[in-house]
Amino acid sequence: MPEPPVRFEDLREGMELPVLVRQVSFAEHCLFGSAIGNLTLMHLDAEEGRRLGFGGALMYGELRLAYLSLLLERWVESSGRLVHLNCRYTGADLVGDTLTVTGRVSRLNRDESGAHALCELWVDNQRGERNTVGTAELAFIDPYGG
Amino acid sequence: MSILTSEALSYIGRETEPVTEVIDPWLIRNFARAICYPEPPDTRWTGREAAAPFHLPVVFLEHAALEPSGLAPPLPPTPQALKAGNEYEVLRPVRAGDVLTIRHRLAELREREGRSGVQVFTTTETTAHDPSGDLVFRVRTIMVRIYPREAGDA
Repeated sequence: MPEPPVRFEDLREGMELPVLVRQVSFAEHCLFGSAIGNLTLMHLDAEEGRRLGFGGALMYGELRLAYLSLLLERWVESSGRLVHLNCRYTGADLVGDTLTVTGRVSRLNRDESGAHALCELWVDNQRGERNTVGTAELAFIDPYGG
Repeated sequence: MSILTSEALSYIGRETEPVTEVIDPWLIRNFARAICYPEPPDTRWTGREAAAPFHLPVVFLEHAALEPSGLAPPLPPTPQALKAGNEYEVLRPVRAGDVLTIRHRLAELREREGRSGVQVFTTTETTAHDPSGDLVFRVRTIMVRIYPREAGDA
């Protein structure tokens, strides 16, 4: 049974986010490339990825970002919404890798504009490499009407 | 070794002509199916007036013109051109049927020399406004082109 959406009053600074684990198959990767209209060869052909100096076909950066936003959107559901999401791709994940997508609440803030949570985010692969790091800001429905 | 010429740097600040797009429910469903796979997509993303997952409109519209013609500065070709980062600001959720006017601007162009060669970073800013002229989202996309140092280079 799915978890109920998290509410602002449930949050604490330092609290860990849920974890999303995905083994990214070739089929899944193609589905995503087709959905965003990017069929660049280095993302679909392991040989082309190796020719460019990588270990295989490169996973789309946007797919890693999509998993981060999926994690956050499922976590807050109707309690709030994602306002900012910043992401840096510091290395390459490969098609076939298993990604672990998670983060933690870094700061909570309530002011006249509402209730906000800042989060640190990251995506690790099964080799222990952290090739995607980011931050997000979530705006919550303030139970105290702030 | 420097890659950026004064001609390339003169592209900073260039903007594309605005393009108006309608957010199609099929596009939302297809994107939701791709990110939720192998699970079925969340039902909130499958209705005819569904809200889009957070960054779908940005990815789609950005890819419609990742480095829009007219903004791409004259740089030597390299097979190593990769996405280095994204910064998204979404002021309100995008829904199926929304009409958005999109503009792209080359915001920044810089290079950095490292041990392995030169990296050239281009930052493109994409904005979407609704028919009332209100900003709906802003995204900055950072691409990196890598020019490996050749044997014998100092």
